Order: sequence, then structure tokens, then C-alpha cells
Amino acid sequence: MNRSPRLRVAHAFRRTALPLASYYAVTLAVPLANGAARSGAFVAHALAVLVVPPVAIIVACMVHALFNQVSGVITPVSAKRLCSSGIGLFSGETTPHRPVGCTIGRIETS
Amino acid sequence: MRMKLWVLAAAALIAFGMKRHYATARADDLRWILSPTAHVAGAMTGATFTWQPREGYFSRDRLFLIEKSCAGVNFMIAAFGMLVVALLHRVGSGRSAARVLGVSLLASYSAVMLVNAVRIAIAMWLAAHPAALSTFSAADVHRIEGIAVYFGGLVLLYELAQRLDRRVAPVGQTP
Repeated sequence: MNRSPRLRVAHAFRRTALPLASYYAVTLAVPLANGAARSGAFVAHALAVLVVPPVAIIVACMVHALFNQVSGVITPVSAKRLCSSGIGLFSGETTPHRPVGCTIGRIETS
Repeated sequence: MRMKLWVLAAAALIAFGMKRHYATARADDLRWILSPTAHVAGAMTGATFTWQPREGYFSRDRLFLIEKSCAGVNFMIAAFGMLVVALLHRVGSGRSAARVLGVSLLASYSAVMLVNAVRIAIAMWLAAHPAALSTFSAADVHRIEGIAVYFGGLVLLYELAQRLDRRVAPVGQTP
């Protein structure tokens, strides 16, 4: 894996950290706190719950990267707008020519 | 800071209350969430769901039952908690705290109906096309589909909340 896809995936994980944390809290932490770990059915379910979201994020990044390559020219995203969110794609203040993160729903195609 | 802690405590109490209600509820007690979900799912799929006491909403033509485990209460709790944390920076007074809690509760309730209906529509399609993913059992497919749709729904809801949050007036400038 070269640097760019790795960065893209890292940004996507950072961006989805809160949804992922809240999902894990409700589907894993709460049942575990209630003693669900003793159940074999829960272990199988927990494994799927642990694995599917990260895989979905990676697949979404791959699909998005492929879409970017196929669709051609993409106008640069408003870096100012993304940075202002605090969890946007770009942590620095520079405006990159191409978005480096997993930018689902934020890219304006021309 | 103190008000934010109060909001977090209130959110935790609401989430705990929902979880307790869900743990002891029967299908009849969950009509407040099953009914709109069945209506939206019916509108999406064209199926007719009728209420079966103590069981849930059943579609005779598709042989599909929207029962207690399909209610999506866990998704609603996750969405509610996530939205409260995402909007916590807007809490400054008692009024804004109530607004954040109310908006989060309403948005999570709306989201659970929509996301759950999408999950049910996909599940019905997968049930009608069992050969599409033959390497997994039907239960595995249903489980993976549920996780993917619920998590995807949370991400989309979070993105929407972030987008709307940026559009409204910055914190401190709200009337």
C-alpha cells in the first residue's frame, strides 16, 4: 500500500471515529457490561460487528478512489470549509490540489 | 463546562431508559417505532404490513415479519448519543442544552425509521434472491447487511449533522 491510499483510509477512519465509537459502544460495550461475553452467539455476532464497519470504510475508500480515477477532473474542495469542521479531511491550512481523504459526499464534480 | 456535563448525564440517562424499555418491552410496547418503520418499509417495497398482536408487522405476500429485534432501538440509542456528542459544542445555556437534547432525540427517531426501512427493504430483496451471496448462510447475510446498513446510516447521519451544524450560525451568535 503506498502512502496516498493509506492516508485516505486513515482520514476516513478519523472522520468516522464518532459514529464508529457510538456503534461499538451500543453493540459491544453495553452487552459486554451486561455479561453477554458468556454467550457463544454473542461472540460470533461481536466478531461480525467488529469486522464489518472497518471493512466497509476501506471498501468505501477504494470505491471512491476508483470513482475519482474514472471520473477524471475533480474541482478542489473548499479546504477552508473542511478544515473548519475540526474533523475534516485536511488538518493543515494549505489548500491541496486534490483531496487526500475519503471524501464521500463532499467533492464537487464539474 | 458544567452545563455540558449535565447534558451528557441527561443523554446517558435517556439512553439507559431507552435500553431498559427495549429490554423488557414486547412487540406491542414498541409500536411507537415499529409502526412508522413498517409504513416506510411498505412504501419503499410495495409490501403490505399488517399488525399481528404480540408479534409485530407481518407481510403475508413477502412472508416477512418486522418483530421486536427489527425495531432498531439500539441504532436509535447510538444515533442519539452520537448526535449529542457532535452537537455538544452548542451547549451554553439551559435552553441550548434542551435544544441539543431535543434535536438529537428527534433526529435519531427520524433516522431510525428511514435506516430501518432501508435495512428491511434490502433484507426482503436478499431473501427473495438467496443465490446472490451463496457463500454465506441466510442468517449471516442478514447480520452483515444489518451491520453495514446501520453503520452506514450512522455515518450518513453524522455527515448530515455536521453539514447542517456548519450552516447554522456559529456558536455564540445564535439568538
